[in-house]
Amino acid sequence: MKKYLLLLFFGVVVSLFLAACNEESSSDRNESGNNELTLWAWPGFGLDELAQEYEEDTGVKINIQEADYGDVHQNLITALASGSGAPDISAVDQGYLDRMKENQNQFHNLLDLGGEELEGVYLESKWEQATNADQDFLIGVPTDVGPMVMAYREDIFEEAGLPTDPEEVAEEIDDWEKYVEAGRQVKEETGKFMINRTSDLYLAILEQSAEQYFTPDEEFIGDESSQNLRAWEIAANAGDISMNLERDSAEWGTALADDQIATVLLPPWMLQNIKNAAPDTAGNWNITFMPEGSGNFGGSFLTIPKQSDQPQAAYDFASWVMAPEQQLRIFKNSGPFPSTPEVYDDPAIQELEDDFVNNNNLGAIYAEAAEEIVAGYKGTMHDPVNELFQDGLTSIEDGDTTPEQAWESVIEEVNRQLDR
Amino acid sequence: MEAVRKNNKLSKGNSRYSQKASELKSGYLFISPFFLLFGVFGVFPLIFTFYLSFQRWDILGETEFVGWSNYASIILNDPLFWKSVGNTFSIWALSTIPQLMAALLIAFFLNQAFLKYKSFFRLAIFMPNVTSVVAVALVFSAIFGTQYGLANFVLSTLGIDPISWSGSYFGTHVAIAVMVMWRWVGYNAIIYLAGLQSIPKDLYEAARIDGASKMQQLVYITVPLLRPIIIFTVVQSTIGGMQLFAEPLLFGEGSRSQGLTMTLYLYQEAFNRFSFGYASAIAWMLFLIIIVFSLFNLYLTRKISSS
Repeated sequence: MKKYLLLLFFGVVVSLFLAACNEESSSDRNESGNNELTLWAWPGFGLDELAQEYEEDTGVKINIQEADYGDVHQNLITALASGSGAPDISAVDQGYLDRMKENQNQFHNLLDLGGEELEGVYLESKWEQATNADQDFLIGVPTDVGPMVMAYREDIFEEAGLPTDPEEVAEEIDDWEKYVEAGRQVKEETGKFMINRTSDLYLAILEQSAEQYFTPDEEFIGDESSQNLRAWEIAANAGDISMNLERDSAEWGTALADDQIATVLLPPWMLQNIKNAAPDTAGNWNITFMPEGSGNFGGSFLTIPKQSDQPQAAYDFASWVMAPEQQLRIFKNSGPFPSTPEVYDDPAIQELEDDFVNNNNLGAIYAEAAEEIVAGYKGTMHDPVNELFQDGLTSIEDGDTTPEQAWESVIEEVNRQLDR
Repeated sequence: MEAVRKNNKLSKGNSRYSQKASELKSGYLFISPFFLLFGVFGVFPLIFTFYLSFQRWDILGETEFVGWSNYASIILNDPLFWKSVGNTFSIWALSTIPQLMAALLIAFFLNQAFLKYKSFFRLAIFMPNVTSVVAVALVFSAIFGTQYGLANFVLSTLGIDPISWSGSYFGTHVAIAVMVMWRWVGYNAIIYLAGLQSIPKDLYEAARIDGASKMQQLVYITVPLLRPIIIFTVVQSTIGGMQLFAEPLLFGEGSRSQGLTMTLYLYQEAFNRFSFGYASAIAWMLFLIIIVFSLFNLYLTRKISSS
């Protein structure tokens, strides 16, 4: 008996150990031979089927290597710095794009590979992000776009005495002050929360503006930019309508399933996260426009590092797979939202149906929101600075700083990090 | 004849010499894998980090020599670094001190003659150590959830107000310390157990005959004789505690960086803010701090256990 127990435990230990090893196994090295292109991306692009088809049509095999979002960028930067190991095509998120643009000599200029044909195909805001200030360097082919909309719980809104029809909701809550007011009404009538965390409210407001933390000359204006001041002001005083839970955390999912959160400000792809976290809330959601227009959340570009020895083949695939037709197919296969406005009138978008939300106009709302997106200038230090502001807001919610103190310490820390 | 003998002697000496040289060569060949790997992954990064700590470098661009300014700003003008040092020590103390005491008690218990299924308990207590740290952090993050966590639920049944685990200094430090403890207490217990088994039984017998209680046996026989092993575990846990990384990374550092440890700060500087020069300087500061603290620790442990 004792022996069997021991054996059993040994087996468990070994399998746990193997599982731990598995996790650490590194990603494959890039082998770019003839007629084979490597592509780095993180999960969610939905390119597999198209890559297969491309191989059948052209004989060029696309070797898609997926890693986590953060790892893809870190691996790419390391490969660029060390001078070898970069793929033929790499996806780069907009958050890292300005850092890559600053080192544009590491990438092929797609304008030299026929990229001028892409102008006008993509949303103005995406094109602006993908090109440099002088419009003579194109770093990547735009992929998807993340137009922000507001998902809300019809049942909670009804209980709180708010309208439930998407058009009426958009009309009634047409600025952020009214959003916070509606949130207080929800809190008073139902005891539930309007949003998961104030920093997410802050992000949504900030993303509505072209001017965020930095001017294109990399000068910090976050301490005086009117949109940032307004976003901070509203979010810092909305602690009472927020549950203070991190988005996409386990608790966030529990709170959604527990019917505690009335609205989520999200791009189309994030709806999937809600479906995964709280499948039982299907049919209680509806979607409408965010107050004061849309913003962008996520969205990437397919870049071609200089290290690639077949840039033309890489460009041909990247421009083909992100052409309007293909983007629409990706979207139909429950991928991210296209960044090519010419497909927005397609029935697949206009008549999009989703059992999870009670709205037959869903696709039209996404499309309209996508056209409203303005390209916010980010700059290389955007993400670290953004994190400091978000942490500042959370520290107010956590309870022992006042908004004024939090603002001061954020500005102080931002200046310290920028001066270094 | 004379000449022949001389020649013989010479050739003999020669062959002995060449045999030695080839032995030497193969000897070096045998140990070379270690030194090659150590050179590539140990020595080179060490030297390169030292070089980088005097540069400003965003990894993609050129390096720019800045002298001591990275070190100067860390020491004089970086509240976040000193906060991370404070956090690291606080979490270290919260996790290591109770952990080693618990490990000692567990080992003492496992070493008792009356205990059945010894191997089972030994294996069971060691199991957490082989669990993936990511899995540990994720499970404990769920346990230490502020709104829906198990820990707060248990506290509420005891009539205690819920604690904001991810939103307060106390909560975050305790949550991370518990993760570390859960994972390492068994490891230390096994090491102590090995030490206990090397203590001669007759000492305990003699003590029992003199009427010493179990507690007295622990305090007057076990602990003093375990001194070298205790020092070993203290130094080990110190080094491990100073390098705490995955747990705070996965649990979240919190809005006021209350979970920011030194290595996590180093990582963020390098891979979030891409200041590789500054991160290298932090690495060297970390090195100094660990050395100083380990020496201090050694001194203290020696002093306590010899008095």
